[in-house]
Amino acid sequence: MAEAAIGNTPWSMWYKIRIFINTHLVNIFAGGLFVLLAIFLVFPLVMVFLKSFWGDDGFTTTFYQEFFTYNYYYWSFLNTMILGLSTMFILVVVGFCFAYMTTRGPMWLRTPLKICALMPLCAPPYIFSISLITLFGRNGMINNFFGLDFNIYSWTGVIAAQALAFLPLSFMMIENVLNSQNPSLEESASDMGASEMQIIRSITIPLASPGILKAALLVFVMTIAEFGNPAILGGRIPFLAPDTYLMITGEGDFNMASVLSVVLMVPCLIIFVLHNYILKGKGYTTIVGKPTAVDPKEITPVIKTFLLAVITPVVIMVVLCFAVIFIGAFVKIVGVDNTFVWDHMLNMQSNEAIYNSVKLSLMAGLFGAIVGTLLAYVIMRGKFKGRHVMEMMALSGFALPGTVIGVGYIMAFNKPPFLLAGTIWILILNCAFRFLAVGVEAGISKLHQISIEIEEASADLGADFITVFIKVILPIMFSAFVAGFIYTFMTTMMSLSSVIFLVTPGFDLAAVYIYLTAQLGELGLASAATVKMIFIVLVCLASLKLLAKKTGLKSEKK
Amino acid sequence: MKCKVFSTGLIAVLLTLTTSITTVSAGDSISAYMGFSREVNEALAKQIQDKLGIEVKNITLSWGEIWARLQTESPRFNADMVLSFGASEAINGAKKGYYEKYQSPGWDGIDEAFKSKDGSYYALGTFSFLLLSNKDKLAEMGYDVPKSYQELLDPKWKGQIVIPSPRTSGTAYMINYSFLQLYGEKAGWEYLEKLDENVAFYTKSGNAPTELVGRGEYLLGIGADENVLKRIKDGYPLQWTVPVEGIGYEGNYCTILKGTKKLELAKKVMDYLGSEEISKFLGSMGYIPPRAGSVSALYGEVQPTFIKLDHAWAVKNKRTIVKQWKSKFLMKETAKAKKVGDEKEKKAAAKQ
Repeated sequence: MAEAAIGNTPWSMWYKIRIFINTHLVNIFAGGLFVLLAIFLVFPLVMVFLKSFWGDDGFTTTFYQEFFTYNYYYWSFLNTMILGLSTMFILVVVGFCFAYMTTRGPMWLRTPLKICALMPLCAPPYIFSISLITLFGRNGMINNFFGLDFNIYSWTGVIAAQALAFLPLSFMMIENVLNSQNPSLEESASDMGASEMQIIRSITIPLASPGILKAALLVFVMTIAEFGNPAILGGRIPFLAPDTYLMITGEGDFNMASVLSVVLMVPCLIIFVLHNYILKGKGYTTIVGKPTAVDPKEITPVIKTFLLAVITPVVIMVVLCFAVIFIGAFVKIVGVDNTFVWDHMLNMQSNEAIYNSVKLSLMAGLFGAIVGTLLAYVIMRGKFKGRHVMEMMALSGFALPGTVIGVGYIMAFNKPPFLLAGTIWILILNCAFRFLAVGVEAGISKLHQISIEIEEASADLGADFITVFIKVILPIMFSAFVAGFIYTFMTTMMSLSSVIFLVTPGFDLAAVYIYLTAQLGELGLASAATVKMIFIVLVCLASLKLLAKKTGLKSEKK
Repeated sequence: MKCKVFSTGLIAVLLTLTTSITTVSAGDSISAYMGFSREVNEALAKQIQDKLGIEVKNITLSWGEIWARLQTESPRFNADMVLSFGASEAINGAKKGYYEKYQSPGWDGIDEAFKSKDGSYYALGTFSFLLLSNKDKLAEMGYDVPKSYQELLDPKWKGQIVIPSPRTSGTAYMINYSFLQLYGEKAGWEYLEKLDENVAFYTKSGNAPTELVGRGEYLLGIGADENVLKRIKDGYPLQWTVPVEGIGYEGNYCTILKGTKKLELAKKVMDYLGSEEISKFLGSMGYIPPRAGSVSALYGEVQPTFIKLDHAWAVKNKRTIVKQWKSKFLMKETAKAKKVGDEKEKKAAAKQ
C-alpha cells in the first residue's frame, strides 16, 4: 500500500513509467516477441530460401532445374511422401487404439499401456533402427531363431522404426482430447440404445478430430524430417531428409541442400495450412468445470478384440526394442558375444554428452516456455494488427522439419550481425524456437477457457496491469508454461535432425553421441548411453512432477 | 502464490546453468574437428593431454562434414585445428587459404610425401581399405574368401556385398578412384557397374561395412581398415584380406586453421604430432605412420601390396567422379524409376 501511495504522487517519474507500461505493456511485449520470432524463426528460413536461388554467380534457377531433371530426386520426394503418409496413417490408428484403451478400457490396463505408449519418448528416435537390426536383421536374433528370411533394410523396416519412434506424439495428442470429452455424452448415447461402434463413429471420433488432426500433422512432419531411421535402414531407397543431411555433410553442397529443404518444407506447410483451415472455429470443449468421474463401461468384445489386435503387436515391439537396448548395454556385443560386462556403462565419454544435453534441454525448455507463454498471452489479449500472422509464425514450428531449421541456422548465424555459431546459444535458441508451438498452443487454449472478465474485474477493483499480470494471468497460464517446458525439454533431449549441424568441439550432445556411435557400429556404447539417458530423463520428469506437486500445482502433461 | 516457489526454483536452476556455461575451464585447451574413428580421436586427444597438458576439445566428424563446416565457417572457424581429413580437403582448403602455414620443426626428418611444401598441412599417417568377410557365415555357406576383386563379380555374391558410398565417405571415394586407376577409367567404371549387381547397398560411412560384415548381416564388404583390428579383438568373427591386385591408400592430414586465437598452443600440438611417440601410437592403432621404424599393428612389418595411385588426379577430379558415380549407381534406382525420369526428361526437352 505504501508503494501505491508513492506511486500515486503525480510528479514521480516512476508513476509516469508505470502508466506507460500499464497501457502499452502488451504492445511492448508484442514488439519484442515479434522481433525475436523474425530473427530466430523466419530469418533462417529466408536464408534457406535465398540460398536455393543464389549460386556462385548470383541469382539462378539451375539448382531447381537439377532437382526436376533427375528422377532420383523425384523418387526421393515420392518416397518421403509415402513414408510420411503411411506412418501418419498407422500412427493415427494405433494412437487412437491406445488412447481409447487408456481412457475407456479396463482400469488395470490403463497405466501399463500408457507407460508403454510413452516409453519411446525417452529414447532418441533412431534407436529403434538399431534394435530392429539386432532383432530382425539378416543375422538378427528373431530371424535366426525362427529361421526367417525377413529383410529389415526395406520399407517395412523404415516405417516400423519411424512408427515406433513417434508413437508417443500421436498417443499424447489423441489421449488428451479423449480425456477431455465429457463422458456423459457417450453415456447418454448409449442409454438411448446406440451401439459402441455408432458412438465411436458419431461422437468420439468427431469430437476428437482436433486432436487426431494435430497428431497426424505432427507425425507427418516429424517422420519426414527425422533422418536417423531412413539413413540407417533405408538401404537403397532414397529419402529427402537423409539426402539433405548428406548433401551438406557429404558433398558440402549448400545450394542443393537448400533446394531439398524447400521441397521438404512445401508439403509440411500445405498440411499445416490445411489443418488450420479445417480446425478453424472447431474447438470442442465439452467439459465445463471438473470432469465427472464415471465408472468405466465395459468395451464391447468385438471392439475390444480389434483394439487388442492392434495394440498387442505394438506393445511387444516396444518391449522387445527396449529389452534389446537394455541387454545391449550390459553385454559385450549383443547378438555376437553375449557375455556380461560393465565396460559400456562405465564409459565416461557419454556422461559428459548427457550432462550437456540436460543442461541444454533445461535452458531451451525454460526459454521456450517463457517465450511461448508470453506469445500466447499477447496473441490472445493484444489488440494490435498482425496478431494472426504472429500466431501462424509461432505455430509454424509444428510444420518445420528440423533439418531445414538446422541448415537455416548455420547459414544465418555464422556471420555478423548475428554471430552465434560455436556458442551454446545457437543450440538453445534453435531448440527453443523450433519447439515453441506446444507452449503457445497450450497457452492459447488456456486463455480461451478463461474469460477476459476476470482480468477486467480485477482491473476495475483497482489493480493495475502489472499486478493483474502477476496475480491473475501468470497463475492461469502456469500449466501451459509447464506443458511448453516439458515438451521442449523432452524434444531437445532427443532431437538430432537440427542440432547435428550446430554442435561444436567439446560440447557433445547425447543424441548426437548415440547417433555417431551407433553409426560406427558401437552398439554397446550406444545402448549404454541410451539407458543412462532414459534414466536421467525419467529422473528429471519425476522431480519436475514432484516439484509441481509440492508447490500444489497440477502439471498438465502434454 | 505457490507457483512462485516453483518458478523461483526454475529460475535458480537457470541462473546456475548460465553461470556454469560462461565459466571457462581452467588450463590450456584447443578445439579440433577430428576425422579418425571415434575411439582413435579420444585416444589421440588423451595422448596429447597427457603429454603436453593441453586439453583437446574435440568433435568426431566425417571428412565431408569437416569440409562442409570449414566452408560455411570461413573465415571464422569454430575450431583451432583439424586432426585428420583427406587429401582433397587438405589441398582444396590450402588453395582457399583456410590454413595457417607453419613449418613445424617437429616434423623434421619425415618423408616429404607426408608434408606440404609451405607447411599448410601434414599427414599423420595413411590408411587403406580392405576386403572384409565374415568367417562364420562363409563357413556356413561353404564359400572361400575371394582372393581377387574379379572374384567378387561371381553371381553367388548377389546381394551379399556392402560398400560405402563416395557421396558421403572419403574411404568410398578412395575405393572408387583406386578401381579407376587400377583398371583404367573405362574398364574401372565397367568393373564397378558389374560389381553393383552384387552390392546390397551403399553405406553412408566408410566404417559401416566393417560392422555389417562383422555382425554377419552381409558376407562381404569393402571398407576402411580403421576399426578392423579393434573389431577382431572385440570378438567379431571378422577377417580381412588384401586382394592380389592390392589396396588403395590415403593420408590422414592435419592442419592449423587460420585465425585461431591459440596459435602458440596449436603449434605446440603440431610439433608433437610429428614425434616418434605419435607415430608409434597411430601405428598401434593400425595406421601406417610416417616415421620410419614405427610399425602398423594391423599389417605388421611387411607392407601390403598397394595399387599405384595418382592422388593429385583424384583430388582434381573428385567432383566429376562423384557426380559420375551418382548418375551411375544412385540416380538409377529401378527400371521403372528410370522410365518415369526418361519420360520427364523427354518432355522437358520437347518443351525447350
